[in-house]
Amino acid sequence: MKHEDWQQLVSAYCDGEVTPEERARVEAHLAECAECAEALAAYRRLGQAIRALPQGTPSRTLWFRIQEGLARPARPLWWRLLPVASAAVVLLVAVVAGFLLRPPSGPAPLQAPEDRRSWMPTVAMRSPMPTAPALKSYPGMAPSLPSCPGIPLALEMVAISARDGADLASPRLVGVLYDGSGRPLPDVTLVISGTAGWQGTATTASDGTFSLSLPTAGTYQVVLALSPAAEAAAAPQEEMGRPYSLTLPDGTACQAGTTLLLPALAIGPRQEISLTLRAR
Amino acid sequence: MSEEEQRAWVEAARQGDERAFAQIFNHYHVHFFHLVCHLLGDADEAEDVVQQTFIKAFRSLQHMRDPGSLDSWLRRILYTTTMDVLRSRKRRRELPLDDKWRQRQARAFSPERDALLQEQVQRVQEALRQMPPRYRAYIILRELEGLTYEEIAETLGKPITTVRVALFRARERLREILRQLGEEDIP
Repeated sequence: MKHEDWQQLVSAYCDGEVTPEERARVEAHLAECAECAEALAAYRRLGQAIRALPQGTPSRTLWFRIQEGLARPARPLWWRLLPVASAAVVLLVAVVAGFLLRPPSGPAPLQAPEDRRSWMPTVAMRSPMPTAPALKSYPGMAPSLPSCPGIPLALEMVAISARDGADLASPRLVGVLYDGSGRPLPDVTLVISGTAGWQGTATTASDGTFSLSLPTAGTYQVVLALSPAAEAAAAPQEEMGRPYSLTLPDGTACQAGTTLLLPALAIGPRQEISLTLRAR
Repeated sequence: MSEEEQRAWVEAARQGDERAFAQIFNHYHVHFFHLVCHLLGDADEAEDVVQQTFIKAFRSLQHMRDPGSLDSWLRRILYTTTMDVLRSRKRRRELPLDDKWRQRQARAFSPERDALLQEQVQRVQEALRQMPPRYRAYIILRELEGLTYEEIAETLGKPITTVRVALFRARERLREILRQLGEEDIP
């Protein structure tokens, strides 16, 4: 058996992908061959080093981009092949035209360069590509809204799934409610309802935080029930008949107390959804 | 995840249950993102690949023959989509390791991780980047994904014997590159 064959076997041995018979042979060989023993140790170290590579985090909007993509009608095969087909047709036309319009054989009369160009076919290679539709807005979704000074009320929601996003059995919704001056708002009740009639409430603590266990990952509706005390506490208070409205990124204005539809929670280990309430 | 669970999710998704789609996504997307990041070395492209994979998969769930094999079916789509990106990139030029990805990874270091470890990580990343993509795929699927030879063979559409040989060559190539980078081997 060649040395490379042994090393190949050692590599498979390292992965536990050998038969019992091969295992016995490799182990006997390893006891005798320092080079193969070193290769095995190196393979193991390489594996450890690769597994230790730090991992990045996908962006929070990935799921919404997928939903967006799914909402667009799928292009049939002929459509996807259209650019290729149109290029082929244009090329064919160019070849045929070039053949038909070629100058007569025999000694060609002297022509100015401009004249020569006049019988050459012009080829337009532009294929019809549809323009992408405008992005659709998602009610309740306002990822990474910048904090704007002067906004009277801000709700920061952070939905955290169970550890590392692996166990989605008991996701939690936690968040902080602020007023426009950045002060946390206590005593605001949030009514959160999910599918199958599930409903839970959370009241913000003195530091504006709230926390609620959700039965499962999914889509939830959140109703902000601002108590009069909370409304009074929120600054600024002038110019308010119905004091607050919620403005989503697409410009949709919702009043406090409006039902918000939050997108599926617990996407990944940590999901942040920021919503902003503005004075009307 | 068991075959039964995979089957249940696929069946529910086929019925149009949005939660099933979300569950499938939740279960796989972070893992897929990591895998493609290591294959492409570019976080933005990796996200695009994951996005395309799920769109393709969700659109063709109805045509999936065996709902119990969701796992390998998704991986095949992911791998094919990744290879498409690599091919189109090759037509343009091989891009360097994405800076954003580096930054994201740098943030993943806890303060306890010292400079030495970072240095080692960077060397391994650089060595992986220098590897031919086909070898990189074998190494990543085995070491990062922990797939068996049979699963790798299924994902890449190669015979198991090829997987065995390719993994050995990939490892040797990685050692060689590390030596060229000034390391005798991984410390």
